[in-house]
Amino acid sequence: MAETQRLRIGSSIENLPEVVSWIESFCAAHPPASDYEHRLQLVAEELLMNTIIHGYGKERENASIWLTLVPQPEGMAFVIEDSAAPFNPLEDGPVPDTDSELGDRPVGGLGVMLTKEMTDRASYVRDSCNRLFLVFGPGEIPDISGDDKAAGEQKDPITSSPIRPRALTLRILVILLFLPVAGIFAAGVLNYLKFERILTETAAARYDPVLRELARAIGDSLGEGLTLASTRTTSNLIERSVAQFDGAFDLVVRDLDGGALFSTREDDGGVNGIDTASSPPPGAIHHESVGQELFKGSIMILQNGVPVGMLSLFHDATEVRNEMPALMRQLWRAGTFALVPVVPILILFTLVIFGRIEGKLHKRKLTIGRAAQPDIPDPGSSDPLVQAIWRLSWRSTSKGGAT
Amino acid sequence: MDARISNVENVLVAEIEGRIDGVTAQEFEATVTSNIPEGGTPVVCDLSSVSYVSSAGLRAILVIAKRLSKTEASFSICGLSGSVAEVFRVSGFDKIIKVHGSREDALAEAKA
Repeated sequence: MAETQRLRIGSSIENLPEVVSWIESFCAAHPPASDYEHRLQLVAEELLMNTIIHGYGKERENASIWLTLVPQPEGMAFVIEDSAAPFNPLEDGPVPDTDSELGDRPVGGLGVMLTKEMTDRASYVRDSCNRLFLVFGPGEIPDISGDDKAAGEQKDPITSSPIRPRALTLRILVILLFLPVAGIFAAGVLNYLKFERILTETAAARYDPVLRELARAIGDSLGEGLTLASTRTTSNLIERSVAQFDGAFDLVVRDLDGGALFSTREDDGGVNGIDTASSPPPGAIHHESVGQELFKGSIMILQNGVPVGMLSLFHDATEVRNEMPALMRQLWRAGTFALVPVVPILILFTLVIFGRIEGKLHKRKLTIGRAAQPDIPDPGSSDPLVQAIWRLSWRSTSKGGAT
Repeated sequence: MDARISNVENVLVAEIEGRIDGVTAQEFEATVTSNIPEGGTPVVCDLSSVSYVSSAGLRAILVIAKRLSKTEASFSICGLSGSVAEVFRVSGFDKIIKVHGSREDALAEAKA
């Protein structure tokens, strides 16, 4: 059996020949229809003329009329749809008096009567547009609200998935994901730096009491008139301290010019002389790092409250510094664990909420877009905005067609 | 639609060919009426080569018939094919307009 055929034509009498040949080719493809071809041609013309002249009129020239031919085993069904004012030709049309004499006979009004006489079954539906169903032969009124309706490309219902995450959702998702990720990353980095500072400071100050005690002892051992350089006591004191701590640190004593007086370090070449500007104030300890391997703590040696030299303590920094990567790893792990439950929840939340919003926006766009082309018998939406656009668009089209 | 107008012993014979539908009815009506003189003349419309007549065609025929009836000139139609005859029958036109089987019959009555 032939397939359901659809044709959309503009509301103009000039389009009648197109419909005639369309019906001819349908009947050629569907043999049971050929018995009714003449009637179908007649009915199609009558209804088209009716819609073109009375339905749309001059105001809506070239507005759309949809024609559908549905093949049936022993005939066919014909459906005509338009978006003109509601009009049911089966009931609203004039009934001409076929018995009246020539002089009394009104001109016109015959088309609707011929339509009724030439069809076997007819049904009118007014929803968003006028739909007239006519059956030729013993078949039933077709239901074009289902599959047959889909045959018409123009009339496909606007199907748009309710959740439709696209560019907008993606952008919002990126922004929403960026916030916690960046936040946690920043917190991690700041915490790392803070820990590193505290850990380094604590480690660097580890021998501060020893250093302070030793500087005081050296200062005390310098009797009246003795110089830092001349005493053996200083040397003994520092060597004893180093031995006491099993060589955990090295000690260096310098004079104010920066020259090394005593040192337990074998290689002291890389150590700069005392820069008096960076010398710590009396009683205070100045901490610094020497490369990555050593911490250096310095304190002034005072003889009767006057600085006479500087005592520096060098101790190993690698132990502490080696712990830093582990600390970093720990922070990474903590940050990742914090994000693991957040990210999927955030993604899901964003996709559902914003995907839905985007889906609605898209559907509205489609509906409005379709309403802007008056090629439809109805705008497919009760949305007042869509209805308004649809009306405006066919008005502008009919104006365009008239010029 | 093609219309061939001829005069057979003072009877206007309009031989129509093709379709008389919404597109061509106006032309058909204009062609025939323009050939009817002021005082009227008997008219025979030969529709034997017409395959299709719609209500627009019937309307045109009605306009011609009414115009002629004012001048009391006769108007008749002949040569209706099956489907066209059906339209005439269904619309009741066969009751208000003289329909003859052949042109000879129509002419014979028009001359009488």
